[in-house]
Amino acid sequence: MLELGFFYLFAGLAVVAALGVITARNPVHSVMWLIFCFFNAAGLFFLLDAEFIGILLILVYVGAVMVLFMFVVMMLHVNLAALREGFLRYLPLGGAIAAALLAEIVAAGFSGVFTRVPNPGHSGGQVNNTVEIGKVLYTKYLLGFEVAAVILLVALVGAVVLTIRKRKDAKYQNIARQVAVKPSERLRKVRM
Amino acid sequence: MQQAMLNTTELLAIPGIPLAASLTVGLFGWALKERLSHSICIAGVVAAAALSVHVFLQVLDGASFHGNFWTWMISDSFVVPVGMLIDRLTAIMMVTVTIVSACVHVYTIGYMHGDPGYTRFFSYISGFTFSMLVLVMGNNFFTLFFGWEAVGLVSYLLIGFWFKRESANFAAMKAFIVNRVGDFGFAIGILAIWYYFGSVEYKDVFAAVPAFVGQGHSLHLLGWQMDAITFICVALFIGAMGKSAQVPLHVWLPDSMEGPTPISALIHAATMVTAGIFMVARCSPMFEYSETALAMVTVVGAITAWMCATIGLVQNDIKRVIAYSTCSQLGYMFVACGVSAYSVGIFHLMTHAYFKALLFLAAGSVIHAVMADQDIRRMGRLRKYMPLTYVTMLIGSLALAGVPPFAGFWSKDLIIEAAAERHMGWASEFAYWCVLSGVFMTAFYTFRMFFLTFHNSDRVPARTKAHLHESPKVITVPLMVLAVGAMLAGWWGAEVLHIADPEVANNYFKDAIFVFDAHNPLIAIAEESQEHAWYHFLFTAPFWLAMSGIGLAWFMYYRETEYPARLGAAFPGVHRFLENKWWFDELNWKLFVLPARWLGTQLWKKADLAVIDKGIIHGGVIGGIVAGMRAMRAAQTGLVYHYAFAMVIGVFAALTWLVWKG
Amino acid sequence: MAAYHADDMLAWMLGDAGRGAVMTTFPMPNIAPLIPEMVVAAAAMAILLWDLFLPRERKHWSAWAAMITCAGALALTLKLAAGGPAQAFYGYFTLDAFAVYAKLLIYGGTILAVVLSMDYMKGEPHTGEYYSLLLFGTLGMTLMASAPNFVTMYLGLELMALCTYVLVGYQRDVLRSSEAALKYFILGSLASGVLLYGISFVYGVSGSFDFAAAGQAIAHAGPDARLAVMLALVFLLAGLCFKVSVAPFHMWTPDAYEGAPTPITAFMSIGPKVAGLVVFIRVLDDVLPGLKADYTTILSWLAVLTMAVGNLAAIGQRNIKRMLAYSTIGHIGFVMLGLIAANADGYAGVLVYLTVYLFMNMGAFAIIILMRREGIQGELLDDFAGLGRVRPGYALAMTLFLFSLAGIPFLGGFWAKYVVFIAAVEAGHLYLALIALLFSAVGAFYYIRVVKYIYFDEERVAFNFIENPLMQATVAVTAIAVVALGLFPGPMIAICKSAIAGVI
Repeated sequence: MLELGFFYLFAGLAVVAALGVITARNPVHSVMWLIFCFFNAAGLFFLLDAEFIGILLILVYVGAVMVLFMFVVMMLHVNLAALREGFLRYLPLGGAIAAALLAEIVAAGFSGVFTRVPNPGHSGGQVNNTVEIGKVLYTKYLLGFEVAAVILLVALVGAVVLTIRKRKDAKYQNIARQVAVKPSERLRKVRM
Repeated sequence: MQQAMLNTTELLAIPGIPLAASLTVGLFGWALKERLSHSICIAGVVAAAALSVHVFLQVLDGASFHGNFWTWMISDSFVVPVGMLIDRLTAIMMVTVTIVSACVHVYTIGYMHGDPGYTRFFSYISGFTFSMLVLVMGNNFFTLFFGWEAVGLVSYLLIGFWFKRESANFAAMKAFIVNRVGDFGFAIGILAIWYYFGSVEYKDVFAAVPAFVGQGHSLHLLGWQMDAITFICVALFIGAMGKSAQVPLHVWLPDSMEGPTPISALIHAATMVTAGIFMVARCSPMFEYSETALAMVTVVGAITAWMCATIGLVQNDIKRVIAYSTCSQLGYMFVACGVSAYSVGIFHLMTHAYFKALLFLAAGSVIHAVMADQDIRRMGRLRKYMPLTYVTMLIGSLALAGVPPFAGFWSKDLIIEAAAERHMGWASEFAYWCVLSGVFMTAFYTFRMFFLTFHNSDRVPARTKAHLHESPKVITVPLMVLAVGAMLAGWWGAEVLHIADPEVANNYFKDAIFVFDAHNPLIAIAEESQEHAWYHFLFTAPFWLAMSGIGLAWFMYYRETEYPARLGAAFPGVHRFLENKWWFDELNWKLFVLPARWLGTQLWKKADLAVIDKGIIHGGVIGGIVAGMRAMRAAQTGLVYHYAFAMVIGVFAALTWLVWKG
Repeated sequence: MAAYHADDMLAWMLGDAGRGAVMTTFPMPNIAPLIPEMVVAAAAMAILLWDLFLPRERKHWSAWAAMITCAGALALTLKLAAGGPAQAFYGYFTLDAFAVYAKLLIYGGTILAVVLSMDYMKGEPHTGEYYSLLLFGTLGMTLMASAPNFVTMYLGLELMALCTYVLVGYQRDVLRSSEAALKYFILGSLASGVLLYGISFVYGVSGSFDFAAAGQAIAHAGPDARLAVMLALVFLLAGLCFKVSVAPFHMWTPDAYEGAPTPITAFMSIGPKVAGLVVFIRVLDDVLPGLKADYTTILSWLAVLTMAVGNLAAIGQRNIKRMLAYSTIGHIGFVMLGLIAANADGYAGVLVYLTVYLFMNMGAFAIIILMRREGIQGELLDDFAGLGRVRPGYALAMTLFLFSLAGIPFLGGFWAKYVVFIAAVEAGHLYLALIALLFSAVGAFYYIRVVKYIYFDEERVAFNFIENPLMQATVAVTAIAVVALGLFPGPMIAICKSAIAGVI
């Protein structure tokens, strides 16, 4: 019963937080809402006895990714007014379709096949999450694991490619040349 | 009957030589220069013509050919052969195509002299000759379709030959789009043939038709039941309507006059546009089984024959007069096919090829002399400057008007008689009156053009006057060759080839064309003509109508030259109506294009992509495509959230449909 | 949580036998069928490093390395395929005839894209990363082609997508390139989310990621699962449709095609489509066989919409890359007829179509790149004006490609259309085939309009071609292939049929 209460608490807050992400005027607030949303999601994982994934969510997403997001958002000056423009114009049609779609998704989520599934219950706390995940990760899901690694490498390379570039209109220092400069190159003796 | 086989190599050479010439000149024209280029092409087409005549003579002796050179295995159930069927129908087409083409090739030397696209032009017309030969020589619907598309493509390229003229580009576009409508029907017809018969070879399909009709296949189309055979024939005929410029798909042909005159003569008068008639005659074993399709052929042909003749009455552009007359004469040919006188249709096709090519080339000669002016209001009294052109054009005009003994008389007279003798309800009745009254108009507009050009008052601008001269030999010699054809082709066809003879054994076409005896109007004609003497034509309506047409033209444009103005003033409404081509273009514009645009803009904003369907279904072809294109471009706003929204709508629509369906 | 004491942890870390329950041996999986992919991955990383040590004038060596890698991987794949179908990595990777044929096309597409890139990338920064990303993208596609379950499929798809996002935005100084990349990225993320949502519902209903097992479970799911299954179906279709540019999920295509460097546009028009359609076929055939009636109807509507969008919008374009983007959409609409036929003939038709499309599209892009010259990208239709007189060879080749794309008989493109149309007719979708015929008639118009520019119009700007023998050879080879496939389509069709035979 207590567990159910916590489930609804975390789930409800996650939904509220997600709504906050898309409705906040200030992008910084949006990021904060998102962090809050992740915390709640982590809570849901804890309830499922998936501590490792829960912790991971907090460490990686909240600790690293969101901080990065925050940097980016604060570096870019996003025009607040422009973001809201046209919101009302699209609301009637967009809202209607969104509502209908939501109803369909919710209905699908409540369809019998999910409600009939028996509750797996708790494993009794004797299972080491990390070990179990490690076991399947390095056996059954080994290929996926390796490919995910390649994806991360590509993301890294991609980020570098897209950001490091020589701007044609900017001036650059050439440190090596500066260090190796000779007095004769900089100083001209003028006979008076 | 002996079944001598024709020489395969010779048959392959007939389309092969023009193709080789076309490719050589097309690819290396820049190196060959003008002289060598035209020599190669002319040598190629003359060789093809000589071989065709040789083949024709063999075919007259009873030889024939049917065979596949090469088989395309496509899937288990479908085989596409590449082969030839040479019978009497093919042979007469081959001879006509190659001879007219050879004349046009020679003529082109003089006409296109000095044009920057000289070598390119030769490459195209040789390529056209090849395509047309493939069209007529193939032994299956697939090669027919290939030739059909290929000639259409060359036609499009040649209408837009003078690409610097905006009007030429527009005309080319129009021809292309209108022809696509027809080709769509044609492709459906071929698809349906394959679907029902499992083969595309003429031999197999025609052999299977009687049994197929016996089984009584039918299909439901939008709540309307239709015999499968009727569906196939109608679909094929829609293709023919596009290619052979029948109402309402005729709008491209007059505009195609933007192309150089040799092209108008070769493609838009003598050969390509007649492909539809050839196809219907070739498919006679299928059309014979569908009364509905035959009635449609007859009625469409009759409407075209009559309507285009009326439009021809008031045109002032010398080439447009002949172009409308071409539409009209094609209508006559379809009437002949529709009343089951296929052989007469082909006969008229052949005679028409000679005299119409002659008229076009003669008109080209005139245009050449008056410095590319095509308006007959600025000609007149040209006879003394260009006597050879005058004489040949007179022969052509007499042939077109149907004056005996010129070529047109023999074939056109037969068409009218056939329409009278075939009893197929109101369709043939209607057709009879259309073609009969058409004779008068044909004679009138032909001689109106003739008198205004060569007689009447001298209205040539002074600037051009100094330039007036008879055309060079390369132009006049082809004219004379064709003039011989225009004089003798009719007599030759009727008296030597016995095209009108209902007895299969005597008729030139023998078993190349299939007609039920119950349908065959030639039987009744033959019976009647037993009783008549040779001068019987003097007592028939067509003769006197033609004569009165010429007489009226003579009266109005030769003798009383101020009369037309008075007539026009007396009946301004009628004159304006005809002069504006029945407001056909305007009607198209108002009826299709404008509403389509309105629909497009309105619906786009309100109902997003719904406009695509609406634009096409309700907007007519061109208007629909344009509206659809605009809508598509409008959809592509460049805004990411619109794109995302489109995706969401897609997901939503699919899911909702599934849920709603349950 | 209190169960773990410090010494326990220590013992665990040291591998104490007393806590043997946590000790696991890692068996060596069967990796042989994956060797080509490993070669590609290793080469991609090697090129990344190697490129740093290449002097500026030898940067094109990376291109050669990429080409050799693809050729080698292709050879290895074919050699492995000789041993018959194989599984690897606990059934997370499959190498059947279908996958092999798809990889043939994918590697072929990448090799051609590298050839097209060599001149284009001269003087651009980050050439090593460029070719490396091309190889990684190829790796993603080959994984998709071999995916027997959703995990491999999704990871392969993300790998491919990530590489293409970066490559589209490669020219940072060109505004439209960055803009296109960003749009593509955002929409791609959305599509990924949609796809994942669909997969999660499949998993929810079936409890399996494996295509075949999930398909079994879905087919036997009771009526109370109906709604969940339908949601899974729609979301899966939507996610896959995005990848292969089916309307209304196509909107990114024109922008991305126009903004991307031309060789990347060429790359994107082949490989990702092949990989996406292979996955599409596997998902339709293995996961959703019980829903055939539903998905054929949905796909029919989408196909009609796609053909309409592709063929109509292409008419209004002035930029040939944009026109070819819409043309791709239109062709995908035709390809979908093969999917809708939902039988071996239809799927074989899809492969035939893609094979022919590889040649004709790559050839057309090669010519566009050859036309690039000072100040002109060779991208506007006007730039083709007068080509016929200046370079008859290029003009002839381009004409062949365009005619083939238009589906004129006696060229490869005709058979491509033909095979899928016939498959659709035989499967009972006559109306769809008629609509397709109508749109192919409309479509012929804009291809032939380019031919008109080539032969009829006057040269407006002096042509100044890149003389690159390799590219000229590519043009020649693709042109010959288009003609040869048009004249002798039999062998290709037979191979495609046998490739599909193992799957169904």
